[in-house]
Amino acid sequence: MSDTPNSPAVIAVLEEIAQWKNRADLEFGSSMAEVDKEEDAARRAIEEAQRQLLALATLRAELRDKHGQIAMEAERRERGALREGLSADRSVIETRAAMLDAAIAARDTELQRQLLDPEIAAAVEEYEKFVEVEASLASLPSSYRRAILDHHEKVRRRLEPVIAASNAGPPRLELDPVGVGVLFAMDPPDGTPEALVAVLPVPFSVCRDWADRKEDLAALFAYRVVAAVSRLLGAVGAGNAPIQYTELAGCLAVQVWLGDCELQGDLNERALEEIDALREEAEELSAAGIELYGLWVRAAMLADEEG
Amino acid sequence: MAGLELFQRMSVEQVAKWLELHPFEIIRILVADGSLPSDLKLDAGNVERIRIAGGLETWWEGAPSTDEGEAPARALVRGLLKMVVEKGYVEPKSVRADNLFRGLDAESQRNLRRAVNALIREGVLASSMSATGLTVTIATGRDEEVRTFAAAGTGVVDRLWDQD
Repeated sequence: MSDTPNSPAVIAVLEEIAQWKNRADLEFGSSMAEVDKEEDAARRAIEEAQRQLLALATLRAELRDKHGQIAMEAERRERGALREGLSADRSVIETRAAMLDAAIAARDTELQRQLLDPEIAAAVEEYEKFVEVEASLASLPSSYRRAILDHHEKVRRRLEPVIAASNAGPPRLELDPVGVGVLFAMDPPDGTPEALVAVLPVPFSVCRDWADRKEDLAALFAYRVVAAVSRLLGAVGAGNAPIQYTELAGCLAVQVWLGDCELQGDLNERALEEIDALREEAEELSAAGIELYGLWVRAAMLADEEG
Repeated sequence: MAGLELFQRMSVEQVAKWLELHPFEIIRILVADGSLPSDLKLDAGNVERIRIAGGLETWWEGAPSTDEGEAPARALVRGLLKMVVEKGYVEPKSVRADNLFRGLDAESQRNLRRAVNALIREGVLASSMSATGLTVTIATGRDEEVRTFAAAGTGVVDRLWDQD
């Protein structure tokens, strides 16, 4: 077999091909390295974005939590403010009750002094005797009864100034007016109410210990609100609704169960109308410089704090 | 010599003590009757209105007599149920709850209140609220049992003494 001489041209071509392939390989390697690098960068960017998303999600949860706490804190502060308001109003009423009692006592002392006048004292004695026998007058002959009644009428006229003064309204304290509030709440707040509560800035003792305490401005205030609530219930067709008197933050609360009633009319509006009427009627509150107002609040604000 | 009280109208508190009612009950009765004076001072006419509009009655003039060997508390309950039966307070006719106790001393009132509450829990008596106060009646279908106890002193109320 004879040697085939190498063709320089083929060698050159093969070498060129080899070189071209080397260059392509190098180029590929270089490009792949670029792609790897880009991919790494992209992956790192994704990881960073994911970390940011996670951080944002955490921040969002924290903000929501904080906002929830703010709402709770607002409720707590609101509840506290209402209780402080009740307490402050109760102090005002108790202070002015004492002042009004003192003014009434001073007026009564002066009236008692007038009763010592000999002429008035004699008339009082006659008046007293008449009161003692009044019930038995019907058994007397009519002419005799008429004479006694005529004489009593003369005595009564003589005493009229004293009688009128002893039944007059309370003396005015001439103090700067101060506002006090009765808090109303309905439960549930929307839809058909099942319960109504009115909280008065007077001590619960006006209800619990009424027999052992003096009937003062706080007691009269309570009577007037009980009357207003009774009128309100009658006006909305709930006259027979059960009423309970309970203690709330040391104050008197009037609770009404409305669940078994079909209400006719707007409870909110009527309650405020009753408070307006009460304000007009209550001479003793006016004399003590107390200006009454009604305020509707959410029932949750009157509930005891949990925990 | 008499003082100013000779001429003064009564306070709600005075009338409440006199009638053995809570002052708030006085107010509710007068509001329901439409006769609450605007100055909250009451005269004899107002007191009469309270008695009539509120259906106030005094049932007791002291503790009831006891049968031989009968405990006073039991005699009290028997005496009360006898009066409720005699006055015909069977559903739907009802009586003010505080009428059941008026005229008794404080301890007898306390004992009787406990018994009445237990009878309400047992379903023998039924209570309901009205504009003038709480009312009580013998529950429908329980009047024969009550009648038997009122007459013979045994039966429906025996369980009350087991509960304490």
